[in-house]
Amino acid sequence: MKSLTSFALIFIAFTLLSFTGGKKEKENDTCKRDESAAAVKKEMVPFRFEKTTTTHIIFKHYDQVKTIAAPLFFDNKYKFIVNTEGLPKDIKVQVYDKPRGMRDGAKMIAESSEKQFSFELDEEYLSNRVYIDYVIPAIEETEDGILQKGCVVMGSGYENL
Amino acid sequence: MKATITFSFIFLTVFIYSCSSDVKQTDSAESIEVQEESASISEDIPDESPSFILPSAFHVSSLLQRAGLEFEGIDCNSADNIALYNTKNSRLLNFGVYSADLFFCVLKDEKDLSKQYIKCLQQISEETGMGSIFNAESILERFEQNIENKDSVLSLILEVQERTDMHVERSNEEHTAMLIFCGAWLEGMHLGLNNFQQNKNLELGKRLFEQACLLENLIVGLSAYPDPDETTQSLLAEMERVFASIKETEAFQKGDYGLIETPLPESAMMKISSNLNSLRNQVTLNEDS
Repeated sequence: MKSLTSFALIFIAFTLLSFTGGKKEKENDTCKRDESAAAVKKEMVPFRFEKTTTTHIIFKHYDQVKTIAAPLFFDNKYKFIVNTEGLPKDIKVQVYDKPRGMRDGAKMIAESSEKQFSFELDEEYLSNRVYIDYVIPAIEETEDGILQKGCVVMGSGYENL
Repeated sequence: MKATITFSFIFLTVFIYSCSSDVKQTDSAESIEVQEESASISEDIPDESPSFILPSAFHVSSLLQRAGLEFEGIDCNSADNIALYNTKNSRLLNFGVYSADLFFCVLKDEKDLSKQYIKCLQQISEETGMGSIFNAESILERFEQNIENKDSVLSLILEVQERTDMHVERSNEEHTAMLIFCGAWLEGMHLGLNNFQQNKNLELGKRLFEQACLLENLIVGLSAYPDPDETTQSLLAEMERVFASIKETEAFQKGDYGLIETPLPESAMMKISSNLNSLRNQVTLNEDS
């Protein structure tokens, strides 16, 4: 009988341990995709709205850079609008004519930390790609360990003449 | 002692019950988290390579049309072929093919063909779980009512494209968008290259070469396709073969970051055309490679 009791107690202890170990991380996801997309679309006028691209971002305890490459075609004017309202922290957006790792002699076309900013590229921009860097700062480690995440919505459009 | 044992068993039973209901909660929480993580996994991996965004199929169609593509309805995919598509991936690919056909038809004011293609899109969207694209505000009905007004029809098909993009983004299915774009790109290239063969329009040739260079990005996207089936594997293999023939060209090898203003030699265009047409037939006729 004694051994049965011991078995029951060991089983309880084991079960307790296995279940407490599987707890999920809490998160704070501030992505407001639809609101951001609507704001981007509104600012696209008079360019023809083409599409939005959503990038999900998880803030870490170290700096990160995420690059988006957008294709451009000959003899077209383009407008890009970047909306970061769906992020829990501010990030910096930098626009280049060359990809990371090949930036010798590269030109920075625009830079901003605003919640929404836009830039245009005309026929004088002689490259078939544009590279948009999201420079994501590190966040401090907090005791509650809440995961900080959100999204950036980028809209693209072209002149329809 | 008896009381201790009884207490232990009652506690154990209650505990196991409470844990089992916790398991259910954890399961559902896990499934949400996995779904969310699938969208952000690329952000989690330190990766120097940029994420390439695809142009819209409509933008590509209008660029080719502006370069002088003379549209021949007979070169489009037959609406009757829709009966051939019996896997999700072949349907998604041909959703792209029919989208491109629809864009060219609308741009060239081909009303009867436009009606056929928008119906094909609606059918495929229902068959692939994207029925909400058309259901919400009866796009088909509005399309038929406004068929005489090109501007209204253009707005409607752009709405279809936007709804498709939104559906894909909300359901975290970027790979779906990739497959749809592959189909649209293939059809645009097929129509353009057929036209180039007949008219030798130099401007169109340059724009087709510009589009052909997107193939590199499509291959990267398709290589990351989750759970590839026979259709996607064969598509990828064929695209790699076509891209190898593009890479051989002197114009591609020059490849700086400039815009393409170098026309391809006619022989190179013919080779690309022949390879792409066979791939396009494989997709639209649902043939094995």
